[in-house]
Amino acid sequence: MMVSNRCLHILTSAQCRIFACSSSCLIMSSGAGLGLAPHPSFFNEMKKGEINDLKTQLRTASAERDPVKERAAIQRVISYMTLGLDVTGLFSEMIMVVNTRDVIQKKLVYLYLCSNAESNPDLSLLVVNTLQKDCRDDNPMIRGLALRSICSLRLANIAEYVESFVIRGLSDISPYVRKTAAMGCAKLHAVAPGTLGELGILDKLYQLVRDRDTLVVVNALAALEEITKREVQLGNVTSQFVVPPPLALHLLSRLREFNEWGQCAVLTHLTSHYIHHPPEEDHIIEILNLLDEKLRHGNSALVLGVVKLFLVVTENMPNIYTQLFERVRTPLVTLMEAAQGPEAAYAILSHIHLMLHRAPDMFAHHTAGAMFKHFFCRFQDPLYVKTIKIDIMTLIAAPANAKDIILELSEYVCEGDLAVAQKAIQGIATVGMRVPDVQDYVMQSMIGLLQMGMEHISSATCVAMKDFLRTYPQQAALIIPEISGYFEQVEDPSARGSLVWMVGEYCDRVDDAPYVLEDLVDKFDDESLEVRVLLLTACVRTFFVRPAEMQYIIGALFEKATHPQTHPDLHDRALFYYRLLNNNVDEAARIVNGTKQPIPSGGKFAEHQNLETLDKIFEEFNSLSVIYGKPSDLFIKALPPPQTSYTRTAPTPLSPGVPTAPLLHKTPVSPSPIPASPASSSSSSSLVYSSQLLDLDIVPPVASSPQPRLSMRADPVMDPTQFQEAWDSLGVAANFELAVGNMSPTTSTIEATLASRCGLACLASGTVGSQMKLYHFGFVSSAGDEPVLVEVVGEMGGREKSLVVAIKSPLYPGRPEVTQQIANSIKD
Amino acid sequence: SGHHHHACGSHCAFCWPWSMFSQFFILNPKGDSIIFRDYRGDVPKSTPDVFYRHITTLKNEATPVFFISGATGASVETSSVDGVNFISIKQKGLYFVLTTRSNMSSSFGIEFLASIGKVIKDYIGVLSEESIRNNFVLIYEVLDEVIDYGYAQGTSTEELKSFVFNEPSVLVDRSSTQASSIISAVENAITSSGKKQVTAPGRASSRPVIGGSNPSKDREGANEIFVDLIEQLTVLCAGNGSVLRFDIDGSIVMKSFLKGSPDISITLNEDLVISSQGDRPSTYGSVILDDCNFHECVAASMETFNSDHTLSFSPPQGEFTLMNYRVSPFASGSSSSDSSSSGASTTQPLPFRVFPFVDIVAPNRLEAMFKVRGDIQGHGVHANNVVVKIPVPKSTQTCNWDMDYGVQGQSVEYKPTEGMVLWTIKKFGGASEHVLRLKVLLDSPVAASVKKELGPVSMEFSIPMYSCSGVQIKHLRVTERNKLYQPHRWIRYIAQ
Repeated sequence: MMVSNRCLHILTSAQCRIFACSSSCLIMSSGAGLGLAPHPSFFNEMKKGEINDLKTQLRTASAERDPVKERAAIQRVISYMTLGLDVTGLFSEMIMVVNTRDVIQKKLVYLYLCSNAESNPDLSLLVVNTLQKDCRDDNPMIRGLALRSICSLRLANIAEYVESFVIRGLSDISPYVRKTAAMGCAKLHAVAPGTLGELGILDKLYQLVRDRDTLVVVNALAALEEITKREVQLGNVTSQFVVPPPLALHLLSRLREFNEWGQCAVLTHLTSHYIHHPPEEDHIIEILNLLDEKLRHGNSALVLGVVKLFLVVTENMPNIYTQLFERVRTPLVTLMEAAQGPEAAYAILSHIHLMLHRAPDMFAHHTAGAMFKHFFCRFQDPLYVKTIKIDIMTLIAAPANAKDIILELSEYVCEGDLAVAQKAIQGIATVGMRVPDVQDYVMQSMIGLLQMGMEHISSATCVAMKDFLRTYPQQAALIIPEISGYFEQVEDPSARGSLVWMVGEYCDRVDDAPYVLEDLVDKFDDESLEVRVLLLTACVRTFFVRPAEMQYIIGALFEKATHPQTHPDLHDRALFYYRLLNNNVDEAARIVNGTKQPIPSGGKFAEHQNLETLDKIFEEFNSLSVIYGKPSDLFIKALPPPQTSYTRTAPTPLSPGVPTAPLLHKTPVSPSPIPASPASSSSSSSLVYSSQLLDLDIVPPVASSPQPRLSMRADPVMDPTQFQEAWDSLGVAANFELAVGNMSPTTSTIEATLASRCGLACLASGTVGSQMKLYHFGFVSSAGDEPVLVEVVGEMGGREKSLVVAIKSPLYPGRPEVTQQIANSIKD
Repeated sequence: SGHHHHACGSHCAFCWPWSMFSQFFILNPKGDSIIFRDYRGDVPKSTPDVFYRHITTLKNEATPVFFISGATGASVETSSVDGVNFISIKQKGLYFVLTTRSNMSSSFGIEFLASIGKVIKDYIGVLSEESIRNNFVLIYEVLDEVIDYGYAQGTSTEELKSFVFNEPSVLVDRSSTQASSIISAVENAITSSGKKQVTAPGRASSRPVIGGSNPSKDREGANEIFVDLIEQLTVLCAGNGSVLRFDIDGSIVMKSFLKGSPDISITLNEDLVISSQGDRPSTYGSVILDDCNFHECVAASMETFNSDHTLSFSPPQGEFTLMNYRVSPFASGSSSSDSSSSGASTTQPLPFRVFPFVDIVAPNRLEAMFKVRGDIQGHGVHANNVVVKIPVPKSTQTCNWDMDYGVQGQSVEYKPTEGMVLWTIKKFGGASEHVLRLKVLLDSPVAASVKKELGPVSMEFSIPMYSCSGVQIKHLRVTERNKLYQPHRWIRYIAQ
C-alpha cells in the first residue's frame, strides 16, 4: 500500500520540521538573552561606584608605594574581571603599578593587561617598555612571563616591537623561554601576519621541532601548523604544514619523552603525516608494535589518539583493519569503566557507538564473551550516558545476547525517568527488528508493557510497535484483537497515530474497526493533525474491507476534513482520496491497497540510513564530530584571517610614557583579482615556505571599507564538472526558504528571473515528480570574480509551495556581506 | 583579495582535530564564574552565561559537550557563539568548562579539564567554591602555565612548582583534628561520602601537596605517600537472590608527598592473571583481571608487569591514578577470551546480598521486606555508612517503615521528590543481617508494573581494608639513593 507508506514518511518529515522550529526558538531566546545580557549590566550599575573606589585605591597605593595595598587593590580588580565586570576603565591606573619586582603582582597586572589591551590599544604602548625590559631579565622565568604577556596583548600596533624579542626568544638558552617564543610566533602572526615574513620564521620553527625539550617541540609544531594554516587562508601559500618524513620518524622515536598532552599532540601531527605520506607495509607493522603499549594507558585522549592513528595507517590493510576493532575493544571498555567521571565515559561510549557502524559484530563476536554487560546502565549514570548505552546495547544485540539485553532494557522502563523509559522501549523494538530470532520474545515483552497500563509506557510502546510491525507484519495477529482497548490508554499524538495506523493496516482483522474509527471521527476536532491525517488513510483502507459499515463514517470524515479551515495538508489529502473514490472505487482500492515491501529486519528504515554521513564522521574519529554525530562542516566555522594590513615601517624608538602617533598605516588596497586557490593539502612541499613568505604583497581586504555595490559578470561560463567540484567543496553560505504564495513558478520562469535580475546563469534544471531543481551560478565581478553557486529546490506538490534556496561561494565565510547581498537580490 | 574560504576537503585543516582551547572557566552551581581565563580572544566573553543558560534550560537532558547552532535554517546572521563548542565536566558541584573553535578531541578536553582540577586540588587541598575563591590568584598563576594560547602545556604538579609563587590559603577543616593514624584518615574518608569522592580522603591527604615555594615550610613528617586501593562493585541480583552480574572496577590511587624523586616499586599478588594479555590462570583460585591500564609514569615497567606483577616508577607529586583494572568474578565465560575460565575464580564472595520480598496486601497497599546480609570475611572487617536505596512506585502516597526492635545506628528516610527510600546503616559487621519493612500506600490501585517499580535496589558503602577482587598490594618499596630516607607509607583498601 504505497499511499499509506508515504503517509508515514511525510509524518516523519513533519515531525522533523516541528523539531527544527522548536530548536530555532531556543536559539532565538538565547540570542535575545545575549543581546540584553541582563546579568553583567546590572552588576555594572551596581559596581560603578566600586570601580571608582578602586581607581582611587590604586592611585593612592601606587603614590604611597605601598606594596601590600597595591597587591590588594590589584587582586580586587582581577576578581571583578572574573565576574565578567567591565574593568577596562582602570587601564591607566593598572599601568601605573606595572613596575614592580614582586613577581605575583607582575603576573596579575600582566593578566589584566592581556585581557584588556584590545580596548586600550594606545595606552598599551606605555607598558611595552616595561615588558621589553623584563624580556631581557636574567631570570628565565621573568623573560618567559614577559614574552608570553607581550605576545598575548593581541595588538597589531606593537607587533614590530615584539618581533625582535620573539626571534631572540627562539634561541634563548632556557627551554621555558624558547617554548614561549615558539608560541609567540603563532600569536604574533595572528594579529599581524606580515610581521614575521621576512625573518625566515618557519625555518627557525622547523629547527625547534628537533629541540631537546619536548614542550618546545610541541609548541613549535603548533605554531607551524597555525601559521601555515593562516597563510593558506590568506592565499600566500598553497599547502598546509605537514610533518615531513624524516621528522615523523624522529618524533615517533621520541614519543615516550613527551608528557601525555604532548604525546596526544604529536600523535595528531603524525596521523596527519600518515594521511599525506602513507607508510610502507613494513613500517606500518613497526608503528603498530611500537604504539601498541599506549593502548594500556589510563588517559583516554591518548588511547583514542592511538586508535585514530591505527585506523588511518591500516585503512588499506583489510585484515589488520578488522583485527584492530577487536584489539581496541577491551582497552576502550576498561577506560569507560575506569573513567573518573561520566563525561569521560560518555566520550568513549560515543566512539564505541561510532565504531559499531564499521564493525557491527565488534561485541557480538564470540570472542567478546559477556562484554555486552558493560553497557548496562548504572542507576547513577546521567541521562546522556544511559541514552548512549541503550543505543549501543541495541546495536550489539545478536542472537546470543538479545534476550539478556531485552530483559535489561525492560528493567529501565519502570525506572522512573521518562526519557530513559521511551529510549528503552524503542530499544526493545529495535533489538527485535535486528535479531529476527527473538521477534516473538520482543512481541511478548511489548504486550507485557502495554498491559502495565501506564500512560507514558503504553504510548512509547505503541510507537515502537508500529515500527516493529512494519518489519514483522505477521506479529500483528497477537495485538490486533486487543487494539481498540488501547485508545483509552494513550493520549500522546504519535502513539494514537500509531494505533490508528495499525487499525487501518490490519482492518481486516480488527472486528470492531469501523466502530473504533467512528468514535475517532466523531471527536475528529480533538485529535492532533498527525492523528487526523492517519485517520484519513485508515478509514479509506477500512472502507474497502467493510464498505457498508464505513460508508456513513467516511462521508462524515470527508466533510470534516475538507472544511476550508482545516490544515492544507489534510484538506488536500482528503480531496485526493475523495476524488479517487469518486472516480473508480476498484481502481482506488488497487492504488491504496497496493502491495508493499516489508521493512527488512535490521532495524533500519530508509530515513535512518545515512552511511555517507557516518563515513564522514568516521574520518573525524577522536573529535567533537563523534560526540555530536555530525560531520564537522556543520559546526566548525573557520574564522576569517586578520583584517589588519601591516606595512613595515622602520621601528621608531619608543620614548617612555609618550604614545607615538599611529605606528602603522592601514592601507586600504583595492582587491586584486586572484584566482581561488583552494586549500589543497595534498602537496608535500612543506619546506619551501620561507621563499614564498618573502613576497607578502597581498593585503587582505579591510573590514571597514564601505560595501561595494554588487555587480555580476555579464556572461558567466562554467562547465558542470567545475560546478560539481565547487559545490562539493564549499560550505553553505546561505540557506532560506521563499514562500511562493499562490504563484506557481515553473523552472523556466525562475531561470529567467534569476538570470535577468541577479545575473545568475542557469546550469541545469529539471523536474522530478512534484519537485523541481535548478542550479545557477554567477561570478561577482565586484569581489574578485569569485563564483557564486545557487541551488533552488521547489516543492510544488501539496498546497504549500515553497522554494528552498541554498547559496555557496568561496567568498563565504570571509565576506558574508557578498553572499548576503546575493541572498537579498534573490529574495527580491 | 584574501581567499579564506573554508575548503572542507576530506582532511581539511580547519576540521582537523587540533586540540586548542579558547577559554577556560569554572562556574559555581549558581552560574557565577569564579575563574575565567581567555586564551585566544576568538570567542565572546559571554560564554559562561550561554553555557549556564544552556545546561539549566535542558536540565538533565544536557550533555557535557555541545555547541549552540546559530545557523539552523535561515540566514547568514549567526548568533555570537556560532561555531563555539563547549566541553565541560562537573566536579564537586562546580562546572569546569572550556570553549573551543576547533574540532578537537573531546576526550582530550575532558581529560585535560580533569587534570586542571587535579592540579588545582594538589595546590589548594580541596576543590570547593570557597577554597577556589580564596586562592584565585594562585589558580590564575597555574592556568598561565598549563595552557598557552589555548594549547596544553604541562600539568605536572611538581614541574609547575617553580612557576607558582602564591602560597595556598588552606581552609580549616572543622570536622576533624589531627589525623595521625591511618584509621582516623580512613574514618575521615568515609565521612566524605559519595561515589568516587572517597579518593579525596580526610584531612591527612586533603592538604595541599605544595607548601609554597619555600621548602622549609613543608610540615614535619610530610614525607609520606598514600596508596588507596578502591574498588567499585556493580552487582545485579535476580529476585531469588542469584547474581546476574557482578563487576568490579578497581583502581590504585596514590597521593605522594614524598620529597625528591624516589623510586617506588609496588608488587601485587603473585596469583594475578590478566586475561586481556592472553594469560591463562595457572592455578585454581588466582585473581583474574579482565584488563587494566596504567598511568604515564609506569610506562617503562609495563612490559614486565605481566610476569612479575611489579610496577616500578618515580611518582609524580600529588594525586594520580596508578592503575585501573576490571574484574568480573562470576563471569560464566563459556566461550570468551575476555573472561575465559574465570568461572573458576571465586576468590571472594559478594560482600552483601539483598533479599527483597514484596506483597500486595490490599488493592493500593504494598508491603515489602528487604533483608541485607553481610558476607564480608575476615576478622574485624566491617562496612561503613551503608546506604540502601530503594526506589518506590511513582504513585506512592505515603511510606511507613519499621526496623528490627532496638537497632541502633540505622536510619530511614523517604525522599518523595526522588521517589526513593534511603536506608542508612552506619556500621555493618562481617556476618550479620539487617531487615527493613516497608509499607507503601498508593494513590491508585496496584498495577502489574508496581512490583517492578520497587527497584532496582542499589547500595553504597565502603569497606576499609577489604579487597573484593582479591587484588592486594604485597610490597611497597621506596628507594632513594644516598639518603637516610624514612617515608611514611599509608596503604588502605576501600570497597564501594
